[in-house]
Amino acid sequence: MNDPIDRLRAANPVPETDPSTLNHDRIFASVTGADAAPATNDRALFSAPPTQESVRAGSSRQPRRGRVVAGVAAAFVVGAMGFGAVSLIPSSTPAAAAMVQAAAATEAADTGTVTLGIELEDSSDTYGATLFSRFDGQDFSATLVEASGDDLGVLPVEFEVRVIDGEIYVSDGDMWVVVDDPNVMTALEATGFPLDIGTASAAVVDLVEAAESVEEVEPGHFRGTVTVGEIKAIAADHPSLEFFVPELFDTELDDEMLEIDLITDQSGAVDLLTLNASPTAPDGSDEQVDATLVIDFEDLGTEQVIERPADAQPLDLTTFAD
Amino acid sequence: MTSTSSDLRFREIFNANVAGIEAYCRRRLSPDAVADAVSETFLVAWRRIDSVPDGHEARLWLFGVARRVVANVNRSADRSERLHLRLVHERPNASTHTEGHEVVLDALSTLSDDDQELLRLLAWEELTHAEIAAVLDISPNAVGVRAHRARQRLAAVLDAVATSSDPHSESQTSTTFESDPR
Repeated sequence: MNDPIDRLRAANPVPETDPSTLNHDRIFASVTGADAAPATNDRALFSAPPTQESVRAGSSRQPRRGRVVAGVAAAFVVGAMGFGAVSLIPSSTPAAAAMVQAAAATEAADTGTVTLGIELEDSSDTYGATLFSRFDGQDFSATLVEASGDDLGVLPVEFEVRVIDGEIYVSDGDMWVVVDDPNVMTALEATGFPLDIGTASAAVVDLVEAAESVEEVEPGHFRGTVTVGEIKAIAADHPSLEFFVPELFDTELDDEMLEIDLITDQSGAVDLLTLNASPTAPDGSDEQVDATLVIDFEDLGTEQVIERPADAQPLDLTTFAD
Repeated sequence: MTSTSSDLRFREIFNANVAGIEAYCRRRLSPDAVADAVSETFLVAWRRIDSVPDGHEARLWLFGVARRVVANVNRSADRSERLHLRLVHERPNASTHTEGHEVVLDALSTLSDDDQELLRLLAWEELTHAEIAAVLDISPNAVGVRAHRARQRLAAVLDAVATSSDPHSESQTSTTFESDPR
């Protein structure tokens, strides 16, 4: 029994079969004998009731396809990369200010890890991918950890890219190649790579500064809304993202609302950020997409050792030409 | 909802969930704090009966309330008491636990509070990712990512303990657990 969850399950201090140690009738009487008027501090002890949608693991919503998926996916890509500055929107509430402050604290780090999870649902399938990135100054490593789909199952993937001192290394899990063609680096730079964690975190700052209706739903957990149009504004403010914008964004989606959740760690920096969207199709059909992006920051300020692969082979582009 | 129908509905919710909420609290609190935590959880439901969802979702809603009640209890305890409350040292049926269970619970206690709670909900309350998302008020995808990483962290701690306790191990690292500073 090596699975840590199985071992934890076996160590359950109170198994389901364990007999009760309390007098339930006495508890019931004490509760129902109390003043039924809501206490002022009750609100801190519960959140909005979970809805059918929030607990739904499967796919019971209406079909969703086509450009809605493309538009929201593009918004998420831009949201995830999020370079450049957007015009600052004053943080009008303490919750909004705290949310921006958390994002700014994250931006100050130059080392750490970021896990990016993207999940899209259409009428019959769920597609997901997890990308794990490590940052150490300008050195960078990104590993596509897994991809999943209802039709595919969970596919472990070991595709990894490392950028060390400006050199690019790529692995398919079996072997490493070094890409020393300057045109490749130029092409990557045109799309925003290589990233550093401060640049990536700047996206978070931009997103939360654009957020509206921000509230602190529980200590350290902030929730607000942004629109696809606002995310487009963030993207359009940075030349490297113009590549994404014209082809993939549909102006009819500009008003689509995305819910942004931000959870801070004990130091006040961003720990986890999620974007959720369930837009309806712009053409009035009942097509719909569920989309979720998760950005999970870890080990900020902790040095990441990104090693240069010792056995990397030069990439021979003539091989591909043949 | 009329008073009578509210009373009946609360009775149904109470009867259906009190054992589960009691078990939840017993897994996380010292025995003398359990009764108050269960009472407070249902007191919120009694006062906010119109906010309690129907059916199975009522259970998740109550877990969400109980989680905050337990957090309040732990926050209000002073440091020494909190140490005393650690499950590994004060489980009501500790006699049934093997040394292996102690190791797992010790390892769990080194993780962050968020990781611990997520793994407990997964392993002890046996909730799905979607159900945990409802309890923690985060997205199912976020639960998936966090569960993946928390499981890896727990496995890493357990591996380190196994290595350090192996007499043939060269590293002989300390078996002392250190709390996750996060």
